[in-house]
Amino acid sequence: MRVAVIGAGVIGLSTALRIHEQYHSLVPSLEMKIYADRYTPHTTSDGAAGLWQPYLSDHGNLQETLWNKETFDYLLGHLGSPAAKEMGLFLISGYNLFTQPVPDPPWKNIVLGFRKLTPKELELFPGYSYGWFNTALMLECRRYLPWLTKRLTQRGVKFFHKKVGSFQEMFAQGVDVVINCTGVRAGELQPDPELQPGRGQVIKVLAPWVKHFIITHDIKSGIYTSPYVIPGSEFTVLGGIYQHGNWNEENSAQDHKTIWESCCRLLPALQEAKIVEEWSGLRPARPCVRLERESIHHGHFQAEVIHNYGHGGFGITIHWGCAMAAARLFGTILQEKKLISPPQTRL
Amino acid sequence: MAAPKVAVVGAGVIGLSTALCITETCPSCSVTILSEQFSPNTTSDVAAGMLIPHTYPGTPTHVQKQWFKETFTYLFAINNSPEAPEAGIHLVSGWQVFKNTPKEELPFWSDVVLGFRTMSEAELQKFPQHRFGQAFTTLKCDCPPYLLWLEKRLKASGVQMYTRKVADLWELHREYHIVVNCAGIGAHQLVGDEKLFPVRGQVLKVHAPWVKNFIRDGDGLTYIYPGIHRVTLGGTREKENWSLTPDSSTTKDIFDRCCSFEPSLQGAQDIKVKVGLRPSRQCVRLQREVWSQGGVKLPVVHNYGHGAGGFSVHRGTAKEAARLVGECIAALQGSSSKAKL
Repeated sequence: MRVAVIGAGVIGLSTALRIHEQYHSLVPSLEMKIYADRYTPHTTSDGAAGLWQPYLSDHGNLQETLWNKETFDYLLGHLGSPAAKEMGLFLISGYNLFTQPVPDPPWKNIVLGFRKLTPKELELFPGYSYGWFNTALMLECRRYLPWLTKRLTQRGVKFFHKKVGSFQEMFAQGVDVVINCTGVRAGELQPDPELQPGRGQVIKVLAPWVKHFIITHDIKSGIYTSPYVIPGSEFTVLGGIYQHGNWNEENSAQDHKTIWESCCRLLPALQEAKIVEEWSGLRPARPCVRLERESIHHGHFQAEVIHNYGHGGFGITIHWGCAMAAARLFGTILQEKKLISPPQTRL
Repeated sequence: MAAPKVAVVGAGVIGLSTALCITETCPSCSVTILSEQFSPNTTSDVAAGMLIPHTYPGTPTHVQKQWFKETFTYLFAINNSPEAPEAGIHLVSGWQVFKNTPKEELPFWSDVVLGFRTMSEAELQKFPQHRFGQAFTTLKCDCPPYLLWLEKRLKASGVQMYTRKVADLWELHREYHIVVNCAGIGAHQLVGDEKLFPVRGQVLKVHAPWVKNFIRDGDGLTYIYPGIHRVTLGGTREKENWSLTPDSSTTKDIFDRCCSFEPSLQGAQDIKVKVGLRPSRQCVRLQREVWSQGGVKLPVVHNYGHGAGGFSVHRGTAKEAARLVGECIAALQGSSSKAKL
């Protein structure tokens, strides 16, 4: 049973690991290979600050809220383990700020200690009249992706630095199942007009006195168009750019100015912060995550693709729930091929 | 009296902040700081500088609350200014957890800190041995930065600072009109205060920049306080122990206790061990006296004995001490005008 995972961002690596952990002992013939044209630290995931936080509304996608919860609970369970530091996983508290009251988010009971801000806390943020405080998690991909890579390598999974041109290319090599985790460029393997880049830019600074995340919201302009400050284990990430349909991965001087000025207005002390790095990336935006199976006929054979892409700006937040769902789809394929037995029905 | 000369003995957080308050309330005063130690070698430099009050059994609660509130308000304003990082002031959120529910679920300071509330069951799961907890956001004064920032402001106000071991406050009566005693634990010897005793605290200052929240055991013995560059792990409370030498078995014990709260601390790097003697007393000695010897009078204002809570009340007590200095000046001016009659 040959499996090829295309894509080595947080989605590709976690899906690969989940599938291998769940099925390799049941299917010893399982041979997994990972193909990607970019590896850490050059993936989209690496540029993200790593804060676990879904969008403000799930637009009725309850499935996504469930996957977010599964991811949070899974990560929370790992906090106390010795691996946490190596994974880049830690707890962090912080603020979400608004200029008007808003409904509570669907994730209010997933995070820890969710509550509204008190008037005195709002004094910290002139211009904002409403907000939330909660404790969430950080998962820094610059550590998490190497950690996943190490686990996969230990399991004998092989990595290839290669841009895959088509699913057919994989099937021609004898791959039975392709796991498509190609993120924003999934359209190059199979056109998907619903998938668009949500361009973001961030400035990484040294500001170790910042211990909270601060995310402001401009309800009218949309997610990530308003300044945010997210402290990591080494650097603090300043951001607030979301440009739908913009494929440009070059840093923009105008966006730099927007981020810098708006973040310094939010936290005047940032003016003292030393700028260390600037980065742009393309969030793989889609109205909903594409997580589904597709059977593709390849000559006489039926080959399978499991799609797992389109996680927008919440890939880290949702990754493990999606990895588990993709693994379940994989399990179904194994059952159909009679490589594993279906779950026993209880009499 | 044109320019009253005031000597402040002690250059920890109490001495420096008291001197600063005196320059604010009495701009005509000439203030000089005399201390055996300056930052980074004061007791204050060892402390984490967390604004979480310690209770003084001998001081009325409303007074302690007033001191804390004044201090919190003062630091809150610095926190919101661009000077915050230089001053070492930052906000930090976290949890205080108790193995057994405390008698007082709402401490007197709960409405001064930000967002104080009882922890939820889900949050308590992170602390399986603890049954009750409080979550809140407070301020932290990192030292040395805060002391250095105070020194900078003092110098800008024309305050002189000298390294000098004052053995007896009387030494100062020829050069100064008023003496302010902020000698901390040094007051035991300096003014012979038998009611003042050390409570030895050993701490570890480690590099663990992923720790963003504080954790404190309600018994006050185990705590994890993330500062700007280092996390302070503590601690001990050893009454009447005068030793400033780090103890290695204590180091291991502190580290183990903190790791049981926060396992990721196993990965902490560059562990530095420090010891400080909390200048402890039933109540802060905040009063003025007039010393007399052979016809000479020396007004003395005491501001020492803050124990485990110096940072939490420093500004409030400094303001009160400055007010007492004002009373001393008024008394001196009154008596000098009497002398003219």
